[in-house]
Parts: sequence; C-alpha cells; structure tokens
Amino acid sequence: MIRINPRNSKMLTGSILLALFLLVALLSLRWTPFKLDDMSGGRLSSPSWQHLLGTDTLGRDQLSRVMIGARIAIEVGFSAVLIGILIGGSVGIIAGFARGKWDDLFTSFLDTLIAFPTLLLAMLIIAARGTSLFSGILAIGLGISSVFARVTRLLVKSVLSKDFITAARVSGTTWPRITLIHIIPNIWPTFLVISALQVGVAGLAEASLSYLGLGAPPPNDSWGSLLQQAQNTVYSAPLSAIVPGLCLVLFVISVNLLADGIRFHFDQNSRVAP
Amino acid sequence: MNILTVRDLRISVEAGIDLVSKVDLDLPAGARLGILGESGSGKSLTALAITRLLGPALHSYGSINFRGSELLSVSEKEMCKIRGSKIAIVFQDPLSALDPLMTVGNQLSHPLSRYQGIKGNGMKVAVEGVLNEVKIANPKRVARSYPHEISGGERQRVALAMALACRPEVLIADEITTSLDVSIAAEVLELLDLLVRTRNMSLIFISHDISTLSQIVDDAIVMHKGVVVERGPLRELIRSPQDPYTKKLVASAINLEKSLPVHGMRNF
Repeated sequence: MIRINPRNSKMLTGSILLALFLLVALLSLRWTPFKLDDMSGGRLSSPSWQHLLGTDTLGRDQLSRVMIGARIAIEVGFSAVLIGILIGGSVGIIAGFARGKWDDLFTSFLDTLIAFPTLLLAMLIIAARGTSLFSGILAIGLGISSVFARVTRLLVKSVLSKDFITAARVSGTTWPRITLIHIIPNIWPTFLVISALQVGVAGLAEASLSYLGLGAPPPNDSWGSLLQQAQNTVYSAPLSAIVPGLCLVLFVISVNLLADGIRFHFDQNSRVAP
Repeated sequence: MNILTVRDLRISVEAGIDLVSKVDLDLPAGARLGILGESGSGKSLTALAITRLLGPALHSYGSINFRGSELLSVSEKEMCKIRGSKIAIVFQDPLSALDPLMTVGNQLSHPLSRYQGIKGNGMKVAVEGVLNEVKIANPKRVARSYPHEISGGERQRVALAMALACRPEVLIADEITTSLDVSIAAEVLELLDLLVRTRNMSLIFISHDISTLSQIVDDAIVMHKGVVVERGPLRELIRSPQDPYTKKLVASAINLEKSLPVHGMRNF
C-alpha cells in the first residue's frame, strides 16, 4: 500500500482537489441539478438557491454546465495522457535503445514534433476528422506524445548507462526482460510526474480548443466553451466567466501539486529526512 | 586444457586508436589468473570484451575462444546463453551494480529462476540459501532490503551471490575488494577463495593491488597502457620482475608494507 507522508502537503492538497473534481465528474454522469436542455431558468438570472451559479443566456443552469465541464476536463485530460503514454512511451523506449544513425533519426523526428505547436496539430486533426470529443482527445494525445517520447528516450538512455544493466546482461538477461524488470521500474516515477503534469496540459489544451469552437460539441460544453460564451456577458453576469475559469485554474493546480507531491514521494533524499 | 583462450585481443575506439592491444590470455579449467595493472591499463575493458559487453563506440578484434566457440563471432542470442551460465562478472561497485529499486531477494530470484529453474514457493528458501552460501549473517533481513539499506560488504556478497546463482564456469572478479575497507575486503577474498575452490570454477581476478592478488591467484599477467608487459606465476613476478613497470609496482607494494609501523610497535 502507498503510504503518503503527512509532510507531503502538496500530494495531499493535490489529491483532495483532484478527488473533488473526480467526484463532481462522476456525479454529473448520474445527476446534475438541471438537465442540460432545460432552459426554464430565465436568461442570465443571478445566483439563487435554485440556480446556485445563476443561468446562461439561454436560461440553462450554470452549475450543471460547470459539472459537465469537469467531466470533460477529466475525460480529455486522462484519455489524452493515456494515448500520450502508449504512443510516446513506446516510441521513447525504442528511441532510447537506438544508437548511431537511428538515434539521430529519432531525435530529429522528435525535435520536429516538439517544435510543431500542439494546438496547430490538434486543429489539423480536428479539421480532418471533424469536431468531436474523441477527435479532441486523439489530437491532444498525439500532440503530447512527443513530450512523452522525448522524456522516455532520455530516461531509458540514462538507465541503460547504469552498471546494474551491464550486471543484468552479464547474467544473461535478455533485452525484453531487462526492459520489463529494470528499465520500466526505474523510469516510472519520473514518468508518473510527467504524466500528472501533462493531464493539466491536456486539460488546458482542451479548454483552448473549445474556446476556439473545436472542442466537445454542445450540449456537452467544456470549461473552454463556457468561457467563450461568457465573453459577451462578463460584465452583466461575471460568475459565468469566473467559475469555469477558476475551475480550470484549480484543475491545473491540482494536477501540478499532485505531480510535485509524487516527485517528493519518490525523491530518496527527501524521504530520508526525519 | 584451456577453458578460455584469448589471442591478440585488440580493443579500439572508432577513430582507430587502440585502447588495448596484443592481449593473450590462457585460462585452464579450474585455474586462477590475475590481471594486474593501474587504472586505465585496460583490465576491465579486457573483461568486458570477453563477455562482449563493450560500449557501442568500442570495437574488439582478435580471438576469444571459450570451450571451442569463438565469442567474437557468435550471435548475440548465443552470447546471451554464454553470459551468466558460462562466464559471469562481479563488478567493483556493488551499489551501482544492483538495481536501486529492487529488493535483494527479487534481484536474486531472476538468475535463480533462469538458471536453476526455481519457481514459486521454493524461491524464498533458494534466495536465503544463496545468501547463506555467501555467508550473509541475516539472510531474511537482507533479502527484504533494498541495496542502499545494507552495508558495503553485504552488497558485494550479494553481487557475488547473483553471479554464483548463474552457476558460471568462469568467474571474472573485477576489483571486487577495491570499494571495501581492509577487514571486509579480507573476508570477501576468503569467501571467494572458498567458493571458487568448492565449485571448481575458473577465476579471473582483476586488481591494481599486488598484495590482494597474491592472496587469491597463482598466475598473473601485468597490463600497462593497454598491453601485457609481463606474465607468469605471481610469486616469480614478485620475486624477480623483469619489466620496468612491474618492478615499479612490486617496489611500491613492498614500500607500502614496510611503512606499516608493525616492527616499531612490537619493540614497544
């Protein structure tokens, strides 16, 4: 069982915040205060006991929409990172083993991918596949897989240079087995930190795409679309901009804190301290 | 009959500069051979070349014959079978030679399952068995520990146990006592001596320290700047060194011994 150091306040705060978002997202699958097509709230009504965060220009309950936004942020964040891990991680491991010209080839390819803006790549993919939540996930996942590939390549190379890999080879261990029992366990703490950070990046990328109208199609609006819609009403109904914006910021902060907490957890130097 | 014969071994970097050249080495079955030389003389490179584990920038040429098969030309798959079960190496620094994220027991279980076919419930007993064999005082605790949680001496014994778990015919010990303090080093040497004797293994013992070498091997080659400068029975090499470098080595070792104030203390 993983024991969390009580001094690791970042991990604790990050986990609690993320757990809250997760809870809201799960809850939104079964229940929201109002249905998304329910426009009975009246146009831009102020917060009340019935509509805690007020309503939007079409009279839809803002809280329900923010709850759905949490679900989309988490769905996109984690799925895109999963795609990034699968594609980027695999390419990174292969690139880590590559030597000489092959290594140069991989490095140049990954450099080009990294230099290519994620948002532009995402827009290209969405333009080709059409706007859908899955297109967004795929586009962001492919975009961040270059980061995973680059980091994995470096991590694999650094582990491969260790004496215990030579020791494993001396005892006749094959490369696939060395990868499984030595390389993956030695790179995964760093990998986990990067993954947590990338969840935030993916969440932000999704919000940007939605803001540009390329994200999840209505009525499942993400925080990005909520922000975009709130643009015209920001003075008359400031909450409609503040709440989704704050949620997005808190979501990114929560995964960043979690990433920092994970790093602290695995850092042997900080663990030795009393 | 020689179990391992090395002829005209040359190790060079891509630019064509030779790091090791003209190394000949004969290891009869059950014999103990020492490789003596200072840092950078090519001792470890020779050991790595024998197991074909040189880095990608290094190339080896010549002939390395193990029981009739030419190691420099066999396939990597074949070489994988030879490494460990036929030729094993124990390295100088056991802390870096053990995976920091794996318990000692887990690390030992891999060669045990691969070479001795031990699986499942028998593994725990087998792990403690090999730890007992290398005379570790509390095998249960050590098996549960990570490498950084045990002492330097224990770590080197674990590294030795890992190599022995492969049941090799030739064991290459590369400066295995260098990172240990003198009393622990003496214990490890004694253990190695016992294990080599009881298992009838052939041993290549690499060291820069002539007195360490004299405790464990019978014959030795002296390497300097990548070439073998002298060879023969170690006693002979110490008694009447021929090469200027060997003369210097022996003289320094004797001077060191003399500088110990043993006699003065006795006079007290």
